Amino acid sequence: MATSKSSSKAGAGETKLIRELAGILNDTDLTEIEMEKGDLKIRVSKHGTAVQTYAAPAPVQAAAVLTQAPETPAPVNKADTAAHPGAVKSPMVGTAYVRPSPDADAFAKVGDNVKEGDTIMLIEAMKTFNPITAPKSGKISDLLVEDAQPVEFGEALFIIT
Amino acid sequence: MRFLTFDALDSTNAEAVRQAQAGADLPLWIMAKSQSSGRGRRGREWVSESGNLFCTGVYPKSDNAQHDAQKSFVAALAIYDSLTDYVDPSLLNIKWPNDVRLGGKKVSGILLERTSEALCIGIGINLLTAPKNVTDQETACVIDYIEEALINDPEPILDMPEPVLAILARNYSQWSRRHDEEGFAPIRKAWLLRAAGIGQRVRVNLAKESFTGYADGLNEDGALTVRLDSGAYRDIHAGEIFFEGS
Repeated sequence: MATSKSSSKAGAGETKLIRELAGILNDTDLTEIEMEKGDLKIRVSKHGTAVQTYAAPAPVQAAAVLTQAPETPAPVNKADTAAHPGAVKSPMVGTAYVRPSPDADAFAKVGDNVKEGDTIMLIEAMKTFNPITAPKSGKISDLLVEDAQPVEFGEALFIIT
Repeated sequence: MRFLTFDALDSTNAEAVRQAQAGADLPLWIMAKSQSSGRGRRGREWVSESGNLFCTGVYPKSDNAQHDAQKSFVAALAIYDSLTDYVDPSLLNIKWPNDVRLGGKKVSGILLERTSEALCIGIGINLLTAPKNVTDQETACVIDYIEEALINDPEPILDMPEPVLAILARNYSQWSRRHDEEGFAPIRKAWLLRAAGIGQRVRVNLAKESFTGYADGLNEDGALTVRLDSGAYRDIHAGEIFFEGS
């Protein structure tokens, strides 16, 4: 899990793997080799630079950077919502619940006006429940997780404006 | 440390939240002789039979939610160690994350709530009665595993919950201090020594999926590592574990 979060920094084993793939590239007429191993995805190309990306959490982000024209507007993704000033993030790895129990109504819906301190969801890890409350009064403009969805530390959960 | 005992409450966790909101001095242990709506995980009821222990420890929370979640294991160690005062320790073990079992049956339950004011450690222990018709697993009570001579003594070893709470609160505070000072490593080690089913085949029920594998161990933050049949490993942070064939 830790490796999938370590973004683009290659470990010693991966660097060796890239070297080996580059060697194969030089020995053959190929211009590009792509290899996937678990969460690790490596693409080595004669014309570009060696690109290493991870399947999770953003599978094709680095590859997209190479092909996407700069003027193309970036689609709204998790990274953008996380940067939103009204984004409330998970304090822990765990499971998010948007309702107090499976049969109950959701704590809040998109568009609801909430007061500071209102519970918007729960995060559970190891049978410890953390109510995630509204840090200020305002409107829930987006709920970014589904009920019972696993969440990472720092993952944006909802946006309050 | 303060103790507050009530004849009747809705739930000791609910009272803990109220006390913390009202600015009570912490740590504080709340006990009720009876509770009308004992809480379990995800809206389930904790069946609260008279004579059993229902209590909640209310402690200052840290600023680290992950650290506080590990108190789940601290609480399990505290219950386990407290029960060794009453029963043969070889009959006790802990099912991930914090179900203390006696003779292979559930004897206690723990539900932690980390509110904006405090960390509330809700604990129920079946002392005199094992609730029936609890859906997910068989239940035990402590008194059934105590030698008869010790029960029939003029000063019986176990006849009411208060002394058990005193032992439990002391054990919790000791393990918790160790966790705060030394981190999760000593808690993890102590938990693994008392754990049930490591290396065994388990079924994992998550909210939206269910799968089987082998319980491999506890990772550095307390998640249960399960080795799937594909050979891949999966860390479980929230879910229910059942031992296959038991």
